[in-house]
Amino acid sequence: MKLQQVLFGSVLTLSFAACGGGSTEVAKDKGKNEVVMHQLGDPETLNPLLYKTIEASYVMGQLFESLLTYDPKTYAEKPYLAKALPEVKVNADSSMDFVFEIRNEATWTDGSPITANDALFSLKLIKNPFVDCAGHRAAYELFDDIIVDPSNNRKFTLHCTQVYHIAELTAGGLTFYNSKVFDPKGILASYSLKELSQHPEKFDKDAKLKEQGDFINTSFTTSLPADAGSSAYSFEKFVPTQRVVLKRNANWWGYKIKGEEDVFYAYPDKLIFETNTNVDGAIVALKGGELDAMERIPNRSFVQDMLNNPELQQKLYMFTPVEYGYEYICINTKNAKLQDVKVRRALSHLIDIDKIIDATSYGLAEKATSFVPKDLKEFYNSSLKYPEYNIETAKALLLEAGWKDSNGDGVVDKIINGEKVELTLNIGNREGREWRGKVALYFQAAAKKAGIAINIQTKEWGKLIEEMYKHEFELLIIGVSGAPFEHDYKDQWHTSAYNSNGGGNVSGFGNAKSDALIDQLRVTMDKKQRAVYYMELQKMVSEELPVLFLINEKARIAVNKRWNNVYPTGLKPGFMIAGFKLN
Amino acid sequence: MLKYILKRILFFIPTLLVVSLLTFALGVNSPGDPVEVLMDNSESAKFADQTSRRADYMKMRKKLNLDLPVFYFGVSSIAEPDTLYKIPEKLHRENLERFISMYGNWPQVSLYYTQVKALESAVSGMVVTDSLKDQLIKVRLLISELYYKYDPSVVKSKHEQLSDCFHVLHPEHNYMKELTTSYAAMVDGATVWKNYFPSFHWYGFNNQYHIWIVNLFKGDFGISYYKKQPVIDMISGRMLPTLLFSVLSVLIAFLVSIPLGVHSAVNKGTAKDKFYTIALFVFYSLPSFWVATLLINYLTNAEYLDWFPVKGLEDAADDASFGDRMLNYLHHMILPLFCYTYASFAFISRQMRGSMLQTLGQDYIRTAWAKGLAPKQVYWKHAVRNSLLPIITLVASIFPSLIAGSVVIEYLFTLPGMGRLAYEAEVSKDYPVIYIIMLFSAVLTLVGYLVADILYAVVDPRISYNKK
Repeated sequence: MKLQQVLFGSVLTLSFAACGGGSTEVAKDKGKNEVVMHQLGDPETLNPLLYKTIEASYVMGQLFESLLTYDPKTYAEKPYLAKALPEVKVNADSSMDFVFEIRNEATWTDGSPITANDALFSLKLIKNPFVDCAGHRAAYELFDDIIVDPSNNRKFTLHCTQVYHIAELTAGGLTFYNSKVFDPKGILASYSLKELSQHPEKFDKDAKLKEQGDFINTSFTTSLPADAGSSAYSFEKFVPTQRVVLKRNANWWGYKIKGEEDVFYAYPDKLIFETNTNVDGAIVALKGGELDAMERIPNRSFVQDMLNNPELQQKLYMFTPVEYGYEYICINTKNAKLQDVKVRRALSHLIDIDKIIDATSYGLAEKATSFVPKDLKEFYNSSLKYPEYNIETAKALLLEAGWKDSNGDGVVDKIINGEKVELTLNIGNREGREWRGKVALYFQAAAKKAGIAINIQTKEWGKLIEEMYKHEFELLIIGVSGAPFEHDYKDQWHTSAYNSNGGGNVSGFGNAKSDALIDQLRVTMDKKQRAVYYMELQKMVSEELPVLFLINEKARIAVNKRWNNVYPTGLKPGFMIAGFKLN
Repeated sequence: MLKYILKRILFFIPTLLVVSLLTFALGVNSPGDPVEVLMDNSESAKFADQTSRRADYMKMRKKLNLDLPVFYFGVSSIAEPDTLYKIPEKLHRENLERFISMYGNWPQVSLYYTQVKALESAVSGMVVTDSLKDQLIKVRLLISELYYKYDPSVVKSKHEQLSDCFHVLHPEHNYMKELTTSYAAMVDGATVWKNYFPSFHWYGFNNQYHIWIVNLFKGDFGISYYKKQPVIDMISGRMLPTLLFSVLSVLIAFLVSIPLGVHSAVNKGTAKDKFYTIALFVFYSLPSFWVATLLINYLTNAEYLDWFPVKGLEDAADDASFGDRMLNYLHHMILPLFCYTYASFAFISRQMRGSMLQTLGQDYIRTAWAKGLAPKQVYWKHAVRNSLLPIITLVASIFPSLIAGSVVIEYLFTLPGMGRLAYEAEVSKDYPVIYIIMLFSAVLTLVGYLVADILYAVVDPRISYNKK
């Protein structure tokens, strides 16, 4: 017994001693002007050109600035580094020019002015074929040159090789990187942006460019110089697996901009991105005041333990704005069993979406009817209705398509190419996606009543991707993230993206009419005309049913009430931490 | 003894080479394409047209040395060419491998593949009237499917559909002739027997494994695909916390369990013994993730008892003194350490109890009693030493866990440990990290067994590794 007493005694002594000892970094002190935001994982890198995860994007969003930004409430484009929205010219050769002028106040964190040459450098950096930023490069593929105004070193023209409906959005998103940090040897200065854009293959063996690319590819993984960007915050510390700390720059140029506080703000002294891989643990920390802001709180905890808890209502702001991504069931329309649209329509009547929203999302979701975000009101086709949950309708449609239970085994069948085929469908789900697994179970139960046997197959992501590219699946339950802006839907719906090389048109949707609509839409600058194309494309998708839309999730956000100026927004992560003001 | 140890260490080398080969082979053959995983598949990346995407794919493939043969040599069949690895698209390569195993005639398989490509190229530049655009799209989709379809009935059906489409598109031109002829040649001229005759291909030293292992011997452990950091930096950052937890939990577990096992054995069948048995089995049956969740919910929570930090290993301020920093570490370690350790109590103490009971029945113990030795002397001096042998076996199994850590506990307490690193590397297909973790784990397993063997000799004088 003595041993146990000694052991427990020492543990308790240690714990109490430790409780009293030392100051802690994370703000338990509610007076500190430091926002602690929860992250489920670390940013995988602090390199602004190489990151891919959402966690890294939140950090990068506070460190680097672009020409334009969005109003977090209205989502309208607003000038940021640029003095005004660009002057847009459509040229006779169907190319486009965007004329930007950088604000006179704009400076790097070290105080040196930001000029048009910095725009030129930033685009050259992205275009260096040795930098592993295929995603960034792809986004700026159409932008091949920047011409600096000889009479004004803050003014430049960004050239786009073709008319493109979201060219302005992309041009405005050009992020500025400080050449002193990202190219200390000045290597890129001797290269032409036009050459890099138009003939990247010419530089395949260029040792200097490779040196610059290698430098970028191996740098800034866990730290970033304070003067890497121009924003209100600069990097202070990264404790891998624990937190990233950014500190406010007292001399940030944005403080000089008056009357534009809707986008120019930076109030907290520090932004701390606190990693906690355990969501339940993070909720405990949020309730205890160790975390100030948290998103992606699990539906169940949010609804059952938080939303209606009066004590927490006193402590926390809680928001549930609708998100712009959607969950859906993707159908392989080239599969012999699913080629007939009547079968796909029958499947659409087997989704009891109200029940799914109540039982699996705890009410925190809306029915999704389109791939276009609902807040893009001019483009969203509001006439589309969610298919009614009706087993009898599904049965009738199956019968119409020639499927009936000829052998009485409870599963409908049909002769296809001389062989009797039962309507047994596999639905693939990515491992670890619990919500989708539950939905698949509801779908399976409803389908059984209509005579369709559904096998749920949970698979590793790599395996699932392989099946998607090979088009060797029948049904997949997946989701996409979104934002309240226009997208280029070519990769999702155009038939050219139906291939085995990573094209996004996995369902096999499309025909000449839909391809023409997409092609037209991409080169139409007139919003009204574009709206016509969007409406038509959405209608076609809803008729052809290459996908069965499920829900738009509602975000689950909580922020400590020691802050004010807190509001939900459709821009990730759903709140603007730099805008929080201490009470 | 020293000779024995040296001999064992020498045996480590071939064992580790085999482990490195197996690890590498598993990585190469695991599902999914690492290039696809590494390529940015985000929304912005999708603006790229297929040509530039393919160029980026090829560049990344080359950078990762995936355009090189996997090993020094390949043993396949005489039906298979030695250059198949050069085909960059994984799906295409796999389909060609299937054709080879089905028909065993590479020249014809290759010709058919070339014809599919030629047809794709011919169709990509085809311009048709609006009324025929749907047919053209259908043709493109069908051709893209030919790259991964191999079942004869499916392939034939696709060919028929293609013929029908071409008949509408271009009745006077026979686009399908060369394709169907090459397919028929492949099927009719099958030489499946070739698959049963082995063939040896020597690829030389410019292969993926050689580059990796040579770099490893040079001390270059590679760069993480996912985090772009040197693997050694990532591992060293995680190794220390894992070692700390593992060593401490092992020490605590042994310090508590051995006396407890002895105590139980000595008091066999008494109420005390039964109490220990029940209590320890209750402990043993509680899953660590559940205990950890309870501890987090009740002992780190302002609503109940806010005694411990909810996560991490430290959160001391930058200006904290050394003493404060140490206390901060200890404060963070208590709950995870408890979760790491408690389940071992039952296991080790039951082993010790059983072994001790067996020893207590031995003749020499009876002799010790007969000599009139005090119970303390009999138990602790004579019996315990010989009862430790099964416990030493457990020591060997502890070493690999020094690197494996505990994924669950590390996740629940957000600890910077090896378990989490291994899991994250596996999920993100970060092969350079996976390979090194596997090798370290193998080294520690070998060291564990060696240490156990040495301890056997130390504890039991009857065991000797010196040749007589």
